[in-house]
Amino acid sequence: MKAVTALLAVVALAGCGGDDPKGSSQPAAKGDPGLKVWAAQGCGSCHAFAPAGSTATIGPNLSNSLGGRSRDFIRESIVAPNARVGGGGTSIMPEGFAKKMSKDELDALVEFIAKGVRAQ
Amino acid sequence: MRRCLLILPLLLLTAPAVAHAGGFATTGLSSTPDGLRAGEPWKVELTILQHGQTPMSDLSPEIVTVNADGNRTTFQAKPTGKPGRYAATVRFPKAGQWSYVVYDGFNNGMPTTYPAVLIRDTAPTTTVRRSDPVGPPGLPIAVGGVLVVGALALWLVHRRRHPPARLA
Repeated sequence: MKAVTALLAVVALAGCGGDDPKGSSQPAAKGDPGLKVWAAQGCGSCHAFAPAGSTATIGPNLSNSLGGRSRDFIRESIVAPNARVGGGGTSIMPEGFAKKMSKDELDALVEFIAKGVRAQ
Repeated sequence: MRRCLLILPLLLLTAPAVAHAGGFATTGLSSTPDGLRAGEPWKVELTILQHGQTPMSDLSPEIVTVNADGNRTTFQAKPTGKPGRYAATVRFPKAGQWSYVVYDGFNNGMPTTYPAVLIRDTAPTTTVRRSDPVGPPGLPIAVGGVLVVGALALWLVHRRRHPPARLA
């Protein structure tokens, strides 16, 4: 008799099930965080860089100027663009550009460019 | 006069370069349209800085979208009231691959380009089945009924085998 009562209780609780999770939408795919920083900082207004779909010609094509360089070199080129300008000239890229970014954003941008130019 | 005629072509050739000398601006986007579905609004803010530093007002920037068939749609960006900031709402009406370009309104000869994006299909209409909080759930009632009848039958069998002692 007790067993029958327990069975009845189980059956009653079965009717209180939750919602079916199937059919809920998947989270949106997110883009490369470095590309978002690239777009936010307007890098593509001056630089050509194929991974960013950029074709601008005001500054150097990064695939050429940074190809094979180290991540440290890429970081320095953003933080201090005049540090290694040859011929005694100055870069038209504004100094202090990196100050508009957080460290995480700068890291993401360096990584994005490094991957694109196959940095060493 | 001959000297003037010789110099004129040279001036015409160098004029565009002179016009753009010192005349570039960077256009930053507050977001990219990655992950958008067809028809969803992409609300984006543009920050336009001359030489990457000085906010530029009184411009008429545009975002131009192009689908795989080459159909172009132009979305005007409006000033937000903050220096150098413009806002636009862009919609990609169909799923598929789209490219987009930003004209800053200052040097439109050199728009800012971005990688193509894949716009997903519109969200499917999801039907979530919920148990009816008011009406009786059918299956548990039926099963419960069967169990009650079974229990009653067991009780009757038990009672027949072990009848209660009669009082004399």
